[in-house]
Amino acid sequence: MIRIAHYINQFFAGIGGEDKAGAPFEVREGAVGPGRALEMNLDGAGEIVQTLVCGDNAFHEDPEANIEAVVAALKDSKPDLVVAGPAFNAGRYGLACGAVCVAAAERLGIPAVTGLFPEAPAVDVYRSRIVIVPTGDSAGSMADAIVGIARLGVRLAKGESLLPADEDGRVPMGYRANWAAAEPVAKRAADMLMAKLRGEPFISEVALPPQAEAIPPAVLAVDLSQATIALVTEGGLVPVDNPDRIESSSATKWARYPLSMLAADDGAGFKSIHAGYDSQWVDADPDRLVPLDAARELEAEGVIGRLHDYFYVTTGTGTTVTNGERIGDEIARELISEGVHAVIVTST
Amino acid sequence: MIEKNGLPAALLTAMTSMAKVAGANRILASGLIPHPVGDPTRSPEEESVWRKGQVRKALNAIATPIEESQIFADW
Repeated sequence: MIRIAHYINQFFAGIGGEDKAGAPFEVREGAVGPGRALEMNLDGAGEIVQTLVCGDNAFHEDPEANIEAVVAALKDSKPDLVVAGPAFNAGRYGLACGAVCVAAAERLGIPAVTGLFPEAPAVDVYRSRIVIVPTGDSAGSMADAIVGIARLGVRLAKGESLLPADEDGRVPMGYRANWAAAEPVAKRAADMLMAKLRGEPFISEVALPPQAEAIPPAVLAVDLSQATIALVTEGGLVPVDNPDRIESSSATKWARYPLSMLAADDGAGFKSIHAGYDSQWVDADPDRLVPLDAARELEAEGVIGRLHDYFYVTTGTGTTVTNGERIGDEIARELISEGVHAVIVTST
Repeated sequence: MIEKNGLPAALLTAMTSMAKVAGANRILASGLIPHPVGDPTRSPEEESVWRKGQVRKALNAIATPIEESQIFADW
C-alpha cells in the first residue's frame, strides 16, 4: 500500500474561495476533496494518509515558514509519495505546489508530483526540478489530471525511474537522458529516412525548436518602377577597421554604410568579418554579397525607382533568435522612416 | 522581421531550406554559401550579367503578391 501525503489549497479543501485565501497551514488526516478522487483512482494500491492545506495568500505571506511546516508534517507521516494539487493554471496555488514538491524531493528524498497547465507560471519556475503532469487550464480537467498523476505517482512511489517525458505523460524537464538503443544510429537514421520517403509516420529523436511564427507576406506599396529598394545582408561586410565593432559571430549589433563608400572601394576598403563562412570571394569583390553594381544598373534602367543610399549589415552566425529579431526590427523601422518600400537581403 | 514590419523582402541565399525554417517569405536560391550573388567560376563580365539576373528575380519576387512563405522557382 502506497502512503501518500497530499497538498491542496483552501478552495479544494472546502474552506472557501478568495475570501478564505488567508487560511493558515493545517494538517488533516486522510483524503480531502480531490484526494478522494485520487484515492479512488489508485484502486486500493494506495491511500492518502495526510492532507496538507494552506490558503493561497497565507502560503506566500511566509513561504519559508509554511515549507518548514510542510517538511515537519512529512517527516511525521513518512509518506512514499507526495502529490500537490493539481493546480491547473492557478498562479499562487501552482507556485505553492511547486515549492512543496521541491521540498519533498530535494530535502526529504520523497518522490513528488504535481499537475499544472503547461503555460502556468509555476511551470517555468519549477519544470527543471520537479515532476509535473500537464493538465488543462481549469478544474474542468480534474478527472484526466487525476488519472495522469495517479499513474505516474504510483511508478515513482515504487522507486521506478523516469521514462522519457512523453511516455511518462509529464512536462519535459529540459535535460537529455542516455539510453541504449536497439539499433545503431545509422540504421535508425536510414529507417527514419525511408519512412519519410514512403510517407509513413516516424518520430524524430531530436525535438526541433519551435518553428518560426508565420509572418503574413508584405505587399509592395508602389509600383516597382517607383519603389525605393534597400540592400541588407547578414554577411558581415564592413569597412576594414570595423568602426562599429560588429561581432564576427553571435552578433548583437548592426550598422549601415553609404553605398557611395562601397562604390568607391578599390577592393581593399571593405571586408567581411563574418566568422561563419570563407569570405575570400566576397573580400575580393563585395558585389558578390551586396549586389550594388547590379542594383545600380537596374536603377538606371528604371526597373526600380531608386536605390536607398545605405546598405545595412550584421553578422548572422551564432546569433540568437532574440537578437536576430531585434536587429531585423530595428533595421526595418529605420528603413520605413527613410521611405524605403522593399528590401533585397543576401544571406551566406 | 522586415516583412513583419510591412516591407516585402526577397532573400537571396544558397541555404533555402534554412531560410524557410527561419520564416522568410520570399526566398530565392542563389549562388553558393560564401557568395550568394557571386560566381567566381565565370568571367567578370559574365558574372555581372548573371548577378543582375539574380537581382532582377529578387525584384520580381518583391513585386509578386504571395499568400504564404515560398521558395521562388529559378525562372
